[in-house]
Amino acid sequence: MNFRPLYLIGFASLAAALAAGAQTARLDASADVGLRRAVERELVAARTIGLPEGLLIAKANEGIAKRATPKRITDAVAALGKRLQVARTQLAPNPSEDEIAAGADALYVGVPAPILKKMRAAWPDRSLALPLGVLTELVAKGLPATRAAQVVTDLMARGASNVQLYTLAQSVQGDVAAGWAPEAALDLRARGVMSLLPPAPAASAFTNPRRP
Amino acid sequence: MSRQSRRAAAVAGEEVPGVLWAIQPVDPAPVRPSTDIDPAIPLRARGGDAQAFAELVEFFHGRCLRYARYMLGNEEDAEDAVQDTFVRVYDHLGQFRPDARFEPWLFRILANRCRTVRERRRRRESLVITGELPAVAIDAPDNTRDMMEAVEAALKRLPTEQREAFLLRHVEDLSYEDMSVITGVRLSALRMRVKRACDTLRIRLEQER
Amino acid sequence: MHEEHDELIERTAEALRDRRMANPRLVSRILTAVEHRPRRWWRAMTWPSAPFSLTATAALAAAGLLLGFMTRQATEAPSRGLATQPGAQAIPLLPAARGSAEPAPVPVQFTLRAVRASQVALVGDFNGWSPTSTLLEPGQEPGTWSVTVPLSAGRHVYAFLVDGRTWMTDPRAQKARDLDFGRENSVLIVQAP
Repeated sequence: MNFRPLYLIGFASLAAALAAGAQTARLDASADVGLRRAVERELVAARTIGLPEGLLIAKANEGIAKRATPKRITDAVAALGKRLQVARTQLAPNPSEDEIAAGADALYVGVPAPILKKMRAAWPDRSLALPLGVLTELVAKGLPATRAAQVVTDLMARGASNVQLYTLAQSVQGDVAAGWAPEAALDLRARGVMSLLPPAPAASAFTNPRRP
Repeated sequence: MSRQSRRAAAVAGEEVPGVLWAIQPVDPAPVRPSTDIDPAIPLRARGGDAQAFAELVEFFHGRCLRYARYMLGNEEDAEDAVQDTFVRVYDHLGQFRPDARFEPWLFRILANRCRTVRERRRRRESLVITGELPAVAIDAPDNTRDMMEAVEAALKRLPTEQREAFLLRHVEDLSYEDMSVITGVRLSALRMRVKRACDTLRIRLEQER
Repeated sequence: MHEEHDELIERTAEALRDRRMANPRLVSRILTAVEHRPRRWWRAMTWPSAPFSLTATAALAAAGLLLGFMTRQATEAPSRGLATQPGAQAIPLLPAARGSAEPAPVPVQFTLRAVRASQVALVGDFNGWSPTSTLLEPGQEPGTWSVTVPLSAGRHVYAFLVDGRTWMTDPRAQKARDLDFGRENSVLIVQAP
């Protein structure tokens, strides 16, 4: 059993492969005509408003791989389209495709839309893919969305790094696995990170992490 | 079934349902450094965690194979015994008490399985593999034979109970308390078996030099 | 009765102990044997009731860490101290211009032990769930499979597709509920390098 991480070895070519892969997304060949047409309609709608089609095609392919019914697939694609739209609006201006996808994931697990806007305000110039992913996982594991979002955005505003956010989520998960209540774990770990960050600016638009 | 007769049956190698948990270790605190697994893992397996069960198998299967190989003398029987052991572990995990240690519980099942396989084989074969070898040749002096062969041959020739006791004590490094749980035999009897095994091995192996 | 220290016995025991008997094939056999056995004693847990199946592992490159169920981490007592190392910088990382702010992808290795499989594919949000674009390669040891894939930082969901038809989540990773199609995925978070 090997838990040791691997080391990076020249991944420039892999990066190129990733970029190439994203552009050639295609609906799985096994999709029947009816499904193809329904998905195509969603894609046209997405194209019209400039949403990334690749994500919708991927959702359809996921459904095909899982042998879902055409109706479920089209419903899922349509629902994703709506989420992408909301995410793009909240993460404006100019969110990347990764950010939009991550935003849609967060909405999917129940994070309220305005939170996305707050996160953007906290990090106007950095990719939100990782913080959104961390938030999504915390909520998916049972933390109340508003509370988790509050903690994450406060940490972001105070200057927490990607590493710290990531480690926070990992520690919380370990604590929960060991039997802690999720909210207690989050509170504890957030305090830990907070104590390492520079003091808050005098005027803050964000609520205090401590409960009122 | 009374507790005494259950114990007796267990020692004789019969399968007795419900006896797996009944015998508690005399001294739960191990004196030697532990070769046991992190106690959280069997507990998780007991709770239904499939991955934890896989961890158990990975962690212990090598030692179980080693023990079974030396007890039974061949790979095939050893693998069967070990596979049966883990299947029984899986089936009876619910009976594993959370306050007990996993290692002796596992070896108890393994020792029983090995006994069962031997009994089955003994009934099948006219020539008994161990303990009653014909006077011919296995320990005819042979300079080209390496130490491992000599050791295994000497081991094979021990009576079953002595071989079992020797392996548990000196190869598996278990405490006498654990061995008592595993075999159902009193400590004093176990010490005697180990001593006799060592005496016999010493004589046989010194002859090899 | 005092047990004497006896060098001959010690050496003998050591020789017997030294025989390495690790046997992955047997492990697979055992896990397969228990796969279909009923668990009468199972008490309900928070783990989803996925059928117990073949062992699989997913390991990550140094710059990415698996936010998953890594057994050793879960069983170690979580450090009650701070989540970060002492001396971690208190100033945020210099933000890159967001046009090029997407951090470079991180190579992530996925591995699976599947002795009886003839084909193993990795499907996930990073390859459009295509069952053909990312096939795992057999490793040197029979029954092991692996592939390395560049992943962007953030959360990703994935699964293995064995022989083109068997959907398998990664038992060592966290699970992600699938509200759309009802079939769970595995989830991991890749950290920015």
